[in-house]
Amino acid sequence: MAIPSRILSLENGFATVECFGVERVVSLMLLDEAVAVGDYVIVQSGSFAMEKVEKAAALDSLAYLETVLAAPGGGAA
Amino acid sequence: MSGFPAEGRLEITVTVADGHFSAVRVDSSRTLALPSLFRGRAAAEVPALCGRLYAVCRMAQGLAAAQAVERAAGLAVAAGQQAARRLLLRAETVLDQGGRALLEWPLLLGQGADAAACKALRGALADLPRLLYPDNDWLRPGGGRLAPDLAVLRDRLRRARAVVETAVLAGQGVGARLAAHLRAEDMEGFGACFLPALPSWSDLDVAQGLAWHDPAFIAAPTWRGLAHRTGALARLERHPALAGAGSGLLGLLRARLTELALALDDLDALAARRLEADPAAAFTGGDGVGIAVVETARGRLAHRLEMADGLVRHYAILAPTEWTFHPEGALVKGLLGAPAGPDPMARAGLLAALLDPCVPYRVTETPAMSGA
Repeated sequence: MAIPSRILSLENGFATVECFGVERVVSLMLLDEAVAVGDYVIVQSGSFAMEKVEKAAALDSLAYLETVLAAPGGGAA
Repeated sequence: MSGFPAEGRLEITVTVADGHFSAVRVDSSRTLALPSLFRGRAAAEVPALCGRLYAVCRMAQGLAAAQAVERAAGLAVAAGQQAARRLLLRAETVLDQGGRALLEWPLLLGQGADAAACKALRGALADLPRLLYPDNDWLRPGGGRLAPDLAVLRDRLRRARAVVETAVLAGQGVGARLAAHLRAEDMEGFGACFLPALPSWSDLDVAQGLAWHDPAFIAAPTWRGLAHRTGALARLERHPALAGAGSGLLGLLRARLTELALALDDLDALAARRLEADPAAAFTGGDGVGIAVVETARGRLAHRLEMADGLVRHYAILAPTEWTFHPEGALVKGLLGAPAGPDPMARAGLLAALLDPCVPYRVTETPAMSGA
């Protein structure tokens, strides 16, 4: 799933990102555009941020995914 | 390969006895319930929603949804639109399989990911939908405004081919290096098993042969009661490039490399066809059932929509990972009885990597129960 992760901090081409309370460090090497703290990115292939997502779209996706995950049996069918 | 808990994960648990894998269990926390939240929404919104909510195979997910909506509405789609969609699906195969090869295969060899090549590949292909559809309406049921800049498109395809041929397919590319590693470790046949390839499906097959309303079936699908193989090896099992490669690690690797080369050729052929502005059909809602089946990088993806008055009454998605990581699927059958070697978790991880799930996975080993 394309789960937008919020950037908490940036350092030397890496970002600490957060999603649903879980933090991880991801590489920004594959991104074409600059990002800043507070931006949202989609993470794939383990630990690479693949694309930046506009905040409104990210929040909309997160709200949707939160509903899915909160539904009975939502974590797994 | 780790990931966020929210995106789901495959937990692969192996047991070794007498030097062989004696038990294999796959527990999936993949969020398969996502389509259930489409219920009550306007069917016309679902393709764009799929394109946004799925990170892996997002073009295929979006286009399958568009096709399901169109079929439910009885909407005919113009030839140019269909050609553009085939081009996007093949481009995604190159992007996805090439990206995995560049980022993940080096790790299997104890080397660093080739992020520079992956970035170049993404730069060539990732925004093809917008290149073909300048209004970014490529997931509109009936088709969007198709107006590609063909010179730019062909340049993008040349760039993608250059990256893949140099970094993946060439004699010193990661594909050849991984093949050499398998040969050196005597692992070429590891993971081989007999598993029938999913046959082509007719409209009647997908309407009647799949239990679309059964969550247990969606999580562990069968065809005529049996687990099946899907993906590059299933599609190419009779291709000359795979002769003698078997269904183990070498066969899986060679199938993925062959698929990449074929997809690059398909892209050139599709870009040479008529992709000019083609009138988009107008979606008017209504009632109906629509099923779409598309071949993605990982295998067969199927969507089914029940639409009432233009709204989603039921939506189901059957994805390739559930075929491959089925309790009797390619991973489990490939491991059971196979020699575990000095590092069973690494061996199991190698097979999982080449079978290529669409979510992160983790391999753990549990001790065998002692005999009575």
